[in-house]
Amino acid sequence: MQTATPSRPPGQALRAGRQRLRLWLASACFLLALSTRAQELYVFSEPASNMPAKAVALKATGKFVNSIMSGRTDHRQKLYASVGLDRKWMLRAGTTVSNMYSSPESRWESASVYAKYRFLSRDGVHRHFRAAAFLEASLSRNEPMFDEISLEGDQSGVQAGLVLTQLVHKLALSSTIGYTEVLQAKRWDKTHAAMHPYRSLSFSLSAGYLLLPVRYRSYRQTNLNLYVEMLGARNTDRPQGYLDIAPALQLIFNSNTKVNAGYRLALGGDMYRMAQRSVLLSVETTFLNVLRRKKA
Amino acid sequence: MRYILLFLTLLSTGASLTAQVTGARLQASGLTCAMCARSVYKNLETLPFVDSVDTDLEQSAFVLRFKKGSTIDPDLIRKRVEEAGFSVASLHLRAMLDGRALKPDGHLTLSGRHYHILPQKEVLPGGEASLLVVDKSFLPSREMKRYAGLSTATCFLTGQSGGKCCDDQGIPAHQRIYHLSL
Repeated sequence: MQTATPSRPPGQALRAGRQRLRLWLASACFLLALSTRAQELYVFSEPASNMPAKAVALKATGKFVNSIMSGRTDHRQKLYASVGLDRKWMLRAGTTVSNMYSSPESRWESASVYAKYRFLSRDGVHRHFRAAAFLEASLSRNEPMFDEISLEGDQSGVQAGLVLTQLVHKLALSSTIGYTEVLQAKRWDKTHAAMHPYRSLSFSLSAGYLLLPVRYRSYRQTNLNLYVEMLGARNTDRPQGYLDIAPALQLIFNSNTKVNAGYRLALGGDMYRMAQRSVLLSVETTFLNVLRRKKA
Repeated sequence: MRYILLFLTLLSTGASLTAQVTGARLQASGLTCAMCARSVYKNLETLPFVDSVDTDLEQSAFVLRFKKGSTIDPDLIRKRVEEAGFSVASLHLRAMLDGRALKPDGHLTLSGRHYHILPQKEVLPGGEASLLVVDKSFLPSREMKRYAGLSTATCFLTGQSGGKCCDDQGIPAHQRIYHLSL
């Protein structure tokens, strides 16, 4: 049924219809995730829970987008090393290589550090509530070109935020709120300063669902997890925003290696972004007790 | 005769019984995945007094066997669980009590650590016993409050001997005292 008003062009009505459909799909996926077994090893966001103390994790990530700028599939490779300092603190350092701003040639583009402090943990047998604060700083050689603010390699800047994770029986919900300041040289350049946004509030709501195994018997069983995450941001120095949905599949081998595949799709928004959708593939291995002295 | 009476008095209060902890059953809270359970398992394995660890993944439970003659420190067990990012939901110590009955509100030394039995109605016969550690951070806080009502001793909250706590049992001040429920 055509619902467009005379003042609304048909193309716009179609887009609005698609957005409504996407929102319905997103809600349905979320309800599915809420009704099943909880998992909080999210693919696109961090939970408030920390990695084990004295452990080291290495993660390699590939992100692929159909760039509106280059008109081809551009990619970014990220490498992260994380350390669990103690039960409350974790640190992560990362670096990225991509051709997103230099297509088709890949080049080194950024380095970042991230620290998370878990300041609240209320554990019960089948529930927990955790809260953590985080700080991230990124240094990137890229020049700002889009309205989307991101420290994953796109811009230099700092981000501070809070993560709240609630697990009750089979429901694990996590929410992140972050504030980002871009600290790019152009921000203080009079001719460019007004061209780009420099401040943004980001938020996420994530849910996880354990598909397999149905019963845990051994650490060698492969786990299959399904996640649905809603990721959004709103620039605070100009009225622009976006809302994405990001479903993801995760396989965990030997209880120490995660393989993630995620798809991120814009549900709506009015930002000029590099792409409306992206694919994320990653592998992460955790080495437990690396920083602990061997037992006597 | 005086010494015999003193000896019998000490025996009747169950003071300073020495016995061994042979193992423990630990339930962790907040675990949702095998990956998390594995980090607790690996952390427990690093304890110097732990001989072996078995896991019940369905129950998020770990069965520990201790090395004979070692000092068994429940705080270290708790610390390892917390370092993995989780909490202790319950810790049952398996102890050999040398065939002697254990009286409520008495004390005993188990594998190098002091324990205070909370005043309860049951009397535990000697032999093998499963004893629940009810100190702070060894149970969810709501559970711990249930046990707090059983004792007026301040050491239940501080976890330390001293003041009027346990001094009549020959335990020096400022010693770590764990509390057990039968």
